[in-house]
Amino acid sequence: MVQVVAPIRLRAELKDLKTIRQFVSEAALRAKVEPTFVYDILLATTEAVTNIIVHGYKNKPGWIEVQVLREDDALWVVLRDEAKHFDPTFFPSPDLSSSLADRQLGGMGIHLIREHMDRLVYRAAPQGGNELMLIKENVFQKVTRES
Amino acid sequence: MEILIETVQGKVPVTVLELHGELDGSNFEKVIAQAKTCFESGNRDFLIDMSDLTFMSSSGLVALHSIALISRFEKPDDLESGWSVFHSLDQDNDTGFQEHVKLLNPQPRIIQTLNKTGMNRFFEVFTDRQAAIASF
Repeated sequence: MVQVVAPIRLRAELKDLKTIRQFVSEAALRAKVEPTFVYDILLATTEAVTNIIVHGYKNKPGWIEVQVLREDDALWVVLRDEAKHFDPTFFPSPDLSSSLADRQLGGMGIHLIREHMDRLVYRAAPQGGNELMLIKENVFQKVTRES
Repeated sequence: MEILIETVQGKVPVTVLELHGELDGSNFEKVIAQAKTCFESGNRDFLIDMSDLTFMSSSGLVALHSIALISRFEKPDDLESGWSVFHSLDQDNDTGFQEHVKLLNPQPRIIQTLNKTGMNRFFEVFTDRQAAIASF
């Protein structure tokens, strides 16, 4: 696993969402992610961070660390926080064939994360807090060599 | 994100809310507040111009939903209710599209978000401003 850039750690509020997107965007482009995948990664990151701030920290500033890693062909965005343990991977996906009136409550952001990333991995930090890994695979520009 | 507001006369007066920049959890309530202020001033029809909106998270969907409810003289739902905020749009909506809130030129990635959440069923999308205004 290769760290693309040094992680950022901030006492995040919703006003910091754009800053976090800029950090992840720059890291993704530095890692040579195909530009076409960057929006997916930024949307998933935004949804996950929003959930941490709104639901984890109840809209009060709280520490969030954002790390961008590369493993083989995959880009990982790792989010760490100090909120109560919450595993978003247990949230069921909505049944899009049902009418909206019949859909289960909650989870728009998690739905969009699943739609735009390939894997979502959660780990409860033993000392408290959460670690959420958003993984998108096969995102890097292929290097072509001229003969 | 910047919000520019203009009222244009078509068959009826149409309030065009131009969104410039990125719409997320940090500013979606501002969009709702602007629409509410316009509505309380007597404006009834809203065209959300998304031509220059480069990013929209699910908070933007909540804003659209809230504006739809406001335009129907209904109180917006609790903004943290997730999918439940769409129930009221769906329950009594036999025709599909909202009558008083329409979208202009959302960018492809935003259209994708609308589609992936089923919101495309509720908001008619136009690519031509004149046609959009004439449709109210």
